[in-house]
Amino acid sequence: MPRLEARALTLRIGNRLLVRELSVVFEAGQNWAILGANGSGKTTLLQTLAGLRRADGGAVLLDGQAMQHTPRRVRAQKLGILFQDTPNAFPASLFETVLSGRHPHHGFWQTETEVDHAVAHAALAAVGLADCAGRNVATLSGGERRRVEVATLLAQDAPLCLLDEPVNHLDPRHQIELLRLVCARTQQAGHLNLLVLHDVNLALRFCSHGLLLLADGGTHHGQLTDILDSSILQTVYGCAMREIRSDAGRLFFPG
Amino acid sequence: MITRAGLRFALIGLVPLSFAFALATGSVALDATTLWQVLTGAERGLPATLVIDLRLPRAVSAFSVGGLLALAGCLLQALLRNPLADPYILGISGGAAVAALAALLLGTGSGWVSGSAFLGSRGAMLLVFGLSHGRGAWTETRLLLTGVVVAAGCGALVSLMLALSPQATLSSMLFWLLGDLGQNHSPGWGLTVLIAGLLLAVPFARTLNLYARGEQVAAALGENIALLRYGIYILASLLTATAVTLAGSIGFVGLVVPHLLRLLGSTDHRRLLPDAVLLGGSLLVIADTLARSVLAPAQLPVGVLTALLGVPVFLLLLARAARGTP
Repeated sequence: MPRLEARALTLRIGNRLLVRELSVVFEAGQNWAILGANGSGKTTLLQTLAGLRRADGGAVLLDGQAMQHTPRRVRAQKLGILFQDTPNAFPASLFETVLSGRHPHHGFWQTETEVDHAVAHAALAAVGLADCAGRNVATLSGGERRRVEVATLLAQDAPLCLLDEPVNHLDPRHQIELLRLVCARTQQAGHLNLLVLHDVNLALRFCSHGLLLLADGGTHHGQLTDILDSSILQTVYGCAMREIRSDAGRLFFPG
Repeated sequence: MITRAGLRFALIGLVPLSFAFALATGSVALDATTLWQVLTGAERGLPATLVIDLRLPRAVSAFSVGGLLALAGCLLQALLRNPLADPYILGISGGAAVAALAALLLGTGSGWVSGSAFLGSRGAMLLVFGLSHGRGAWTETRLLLTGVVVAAGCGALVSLMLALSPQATLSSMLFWLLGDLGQNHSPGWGLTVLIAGLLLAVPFARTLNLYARGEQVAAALGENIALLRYGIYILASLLTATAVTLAGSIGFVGLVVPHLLRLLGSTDHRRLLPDAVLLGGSLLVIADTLARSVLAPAQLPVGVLTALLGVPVFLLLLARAARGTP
């Protein structure tokens, strides 16, 4: 059974049609790149697939069950989402922030245990911030804050991860390290990632499958290497795209 | 920086100290021995009457009001995700003030004033909630703007009534507006609401941590945000309405106590909510005692004292935090 599925999914914002009757199946073990121009509906699609927004048509199924019939806490144990931006209005330590990812694993009257603390510390270590556990999140740089948010998602330990521009604000080294960390999770049984990315080359390097959003609400999806070429990318982004073959594989550049 | 256990210990210690200060201070100052004899029942004369009948009820209601305001402040700051939010920001005190001043203007008794303040705060609460909900999407910005505008409207009505009121009622009106703990007849009520509110809020504190980081974050981690948002709003409104009914609008406590504690390291709501009740309550007991004793027999508005006590402490902590200490 597919872990996550969109059936004739239609998304609108106001009168604008973003996605028209998208039917796609996301299986365990896959890393999906979602590519599209600004305003093409990537974030809206991701939030709908995460069950945080109602579909304007069609349905989203999580493990074969309609998303709106999945209890919220069960959904949060199975599926985690990294938002494009998480504001921090109030001071909190890195450790407290990452520990909050453990929330769905506890009932109303329960509290975190040593296990949760260990998971949170491990998640901070995985993103290279083990030494700053006690620091206030507000004192971090944009890139460090991004890594804290990823650590919070890792602490949630949900097999399905939906990430909205995970490499925002990250330098090249951390982009690679973070995508390697996240995408390696799909080697575990039942794990699946969907990543909204703007860098076609990072997508080609780390993702097995791709979902392209076009301006007219149409979509293309399949094995990433099969669907990507310079002409389809030109349609997606509305600018000329050049393909270069190198020893690192195919590379795409605007030009 | 003090440790978390140290902070809690200091806050728990502050409560009896503030009460001792309140009970011993006044027209007849009592020393520690006399106070102890009164409290143990060994002394039954004038000191006992002073302490048990006058000072204790007033201290209890000061503690309740301070705790209610600080707790409501924490809840509303989390709900609106706005550090500038205080219990009065959504017009609850404005509604209470309009109704209370109208009662004063009509020359009704003090029981009527409290009653109308309570009804006025409920009216404002329903008005703001109804208007901000509307048909469109609920956002905290919309709730905030509706509340601020309703509060401004109430402020205009209050100014109008002050301008129209005869000299004789003017000073009691001003006193009500600045906060007055002298009119209290039933301190037990405030304390009951405070304890009930705290017991109701603390189990949700872990969820409040998520909510303070964003509605979306709470939703993604499996919370029913619509239910949560109504719950926080209604609870915070009831706490504020109770405080305003008991003592008028005492500023500053609800805004600054939560921030003060966050700066001291109490950032998790599971610690912040009880800490805020302890600190807010003690702060108001001390401020009220000073308000009635510094220029005795004249009584100062307690709101002036809370600000005079809290502003320097807060600014000091903020300056230290800016240097990166916490």
